[in-house]
Amino acid sequence: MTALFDNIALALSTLRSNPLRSLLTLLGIVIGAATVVAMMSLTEGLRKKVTDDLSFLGAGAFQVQKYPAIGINLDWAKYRKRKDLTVEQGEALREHCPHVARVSIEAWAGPEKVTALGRSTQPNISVAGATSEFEQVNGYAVADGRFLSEADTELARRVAVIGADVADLLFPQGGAVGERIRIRNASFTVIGTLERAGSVLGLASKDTLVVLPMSAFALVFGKKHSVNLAVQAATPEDVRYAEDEVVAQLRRLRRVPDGEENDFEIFSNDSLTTTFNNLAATVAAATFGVCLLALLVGGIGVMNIMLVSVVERTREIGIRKALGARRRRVLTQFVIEAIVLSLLGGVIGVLLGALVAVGAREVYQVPASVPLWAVLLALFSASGCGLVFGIYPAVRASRLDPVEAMRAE
Amino acid sequence: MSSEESPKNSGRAAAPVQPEKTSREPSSTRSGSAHPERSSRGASGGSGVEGPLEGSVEVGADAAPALIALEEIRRTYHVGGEEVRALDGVSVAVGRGEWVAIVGQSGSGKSTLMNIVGCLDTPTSGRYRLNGTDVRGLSDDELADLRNKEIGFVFQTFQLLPRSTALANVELPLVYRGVPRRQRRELAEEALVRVGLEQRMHHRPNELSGGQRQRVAVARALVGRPALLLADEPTGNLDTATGEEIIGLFTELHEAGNTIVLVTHEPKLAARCPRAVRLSDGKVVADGPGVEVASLQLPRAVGT
Repeated sequence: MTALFDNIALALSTLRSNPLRSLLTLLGIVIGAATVVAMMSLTEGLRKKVTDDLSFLGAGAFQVQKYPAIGINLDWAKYRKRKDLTVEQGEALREHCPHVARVSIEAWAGPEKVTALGRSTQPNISVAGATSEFEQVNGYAVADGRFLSEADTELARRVAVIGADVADLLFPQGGAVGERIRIRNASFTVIGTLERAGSVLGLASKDTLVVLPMSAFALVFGKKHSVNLAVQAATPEDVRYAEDEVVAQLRRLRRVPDGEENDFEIFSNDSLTTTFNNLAATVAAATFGVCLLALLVGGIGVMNIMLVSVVERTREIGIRKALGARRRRVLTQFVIEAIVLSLLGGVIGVLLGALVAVGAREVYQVPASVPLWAVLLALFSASGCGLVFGIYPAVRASRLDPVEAMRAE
Repeated sequence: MSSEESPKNSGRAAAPVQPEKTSREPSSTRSGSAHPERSSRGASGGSGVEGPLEGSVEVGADAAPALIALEEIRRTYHVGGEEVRALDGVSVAVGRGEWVAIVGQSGSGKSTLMNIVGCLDTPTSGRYRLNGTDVRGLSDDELADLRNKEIGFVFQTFQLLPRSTALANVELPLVYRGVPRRQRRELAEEALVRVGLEQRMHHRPNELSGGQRQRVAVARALVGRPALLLADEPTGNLDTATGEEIIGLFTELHEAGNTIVLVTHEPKLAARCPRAVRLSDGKVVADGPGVEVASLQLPRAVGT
């Protein structure tokens, strides 16, 4: 124990005697550790927020669509070959599934540019063809006016409900209801605006949308669309049964042979969250790989400086050995010095990474929080780096011949 | 015991000096007839003299174990494919409490001898026992332990750690002995007081004068209470007055019972020691009272 403390004290005094050089050497380690902490903090922050944000479906709701919502490395060709989901299939679910309370049948298009009264949005507006169920199933609320009614759909009225961002952009003075908007040269009367709903992960805004009656939507965008079916169970407890019923019904309607997988995607808020978490973990692992690379570079720096240090302190090593330092003692002295050096770089890196994470939170509204495990991971990797790259110089130091070494200048 | 023999030795030493010097050319006799100057083994009463091999010399050892027992020590180096014999059959014994100078010109082999006595180097052949321990076959680490326990070094260039305080420097041998922090601090302070540096404990070497630095080195050598103080040209980097102080300190330490081996090229310094061993061309050419051995220097230096 005494020996360990002696070694650490010694290492610190050596670092102090050459602060600038130590700092420059540490740059690689600092960057590595900072990247670990910053990236992990960001992904962790996203992960925490994802549960809230991905709840864009209302309570007890799940979604059926042709393509998966998120994922990596997907075989898009396979999904493209699938039959479209149709309005009729959605209507069949409404009728034949006892645990299903509502089915929002949605066709999506966009991004589109929406204009009104000489103002224009960016071409980033999603346009939905929907039914009256859309509002509730997707967890929206009307701010002003009213939502679509069944009559709007049946009569193919050229009306629209607009998201909060669209309303703000086109009608900054308010009073959107009753005004006209244009999408692809077709004109629609605004009958309602939606409450602000926020964004998914701070990226995809839920407020940049225009909802049209399905029939009006088809006039502009055509009928050849696979629709999404947002299904809401009667109660949250019924979701499981509702899911089973929906799957069975759709397989029957779409003539999926027994034993084959579904030719549609079904997911809930929970399954989305899980998928996202897996995705985030993959990203984190990839990031960590990059960090390891930075640490590797840092480690080579440490090795370099330790080799220089051994040469510079040849005489000191000679004295220590002459006075009775065993090989292992000299070895540990230098290894610990390398570890302390790297650990210092790790600490600086952690602070820097935390700063980046906090900065990102302020600037990009990402709810970054620095997880303890990321800090420990960074410090552990940094010191491991020092250990690995400190061994060779330390071995060289420990093998010096005391007589030769004391003669060095 | 060696003092008993020293008259004889010095008597012999006077004679072989010249022959030894000129006999550089019949060096083929080195290995075979090295025994003429064997007598320089002070302690062993000549019992091993007739045997040319190292093993037979042991016999005398049990009489009174010397602190340093060097028997037929050879050390050869290979420099550029050529064999250099730095030590060529050196046998010396030093008893406890003795103060012995090892004197010789540069190239005489005295540095090599100092390294071997200090367990910093091991002989190519021959036997060396330090305080009863045979160093033959010891590993690096075992030699380090032996140095730590038995030897206090004082070097010409002080060899202090430049960034450490006097106190930390003196503590160093105890650090490697595993002495707990507090205790080693106390012992180091004691040693620094002993050499008169109680006012300078927290100074770094560059804040100390040469004499003070060497005192720190002496304190460091003493702190572990080693069996042997081994000093290599301890006054070599000091002015006369400061050198005198250090020699004064050694005299005190000798009087207090410490065993001191002092390696020097200065006959004047050797003359101050009760006993001196003169090396030339890797052989012992004289062993006796310091004054006598030192005085041999002059004719020889003039002669060559």
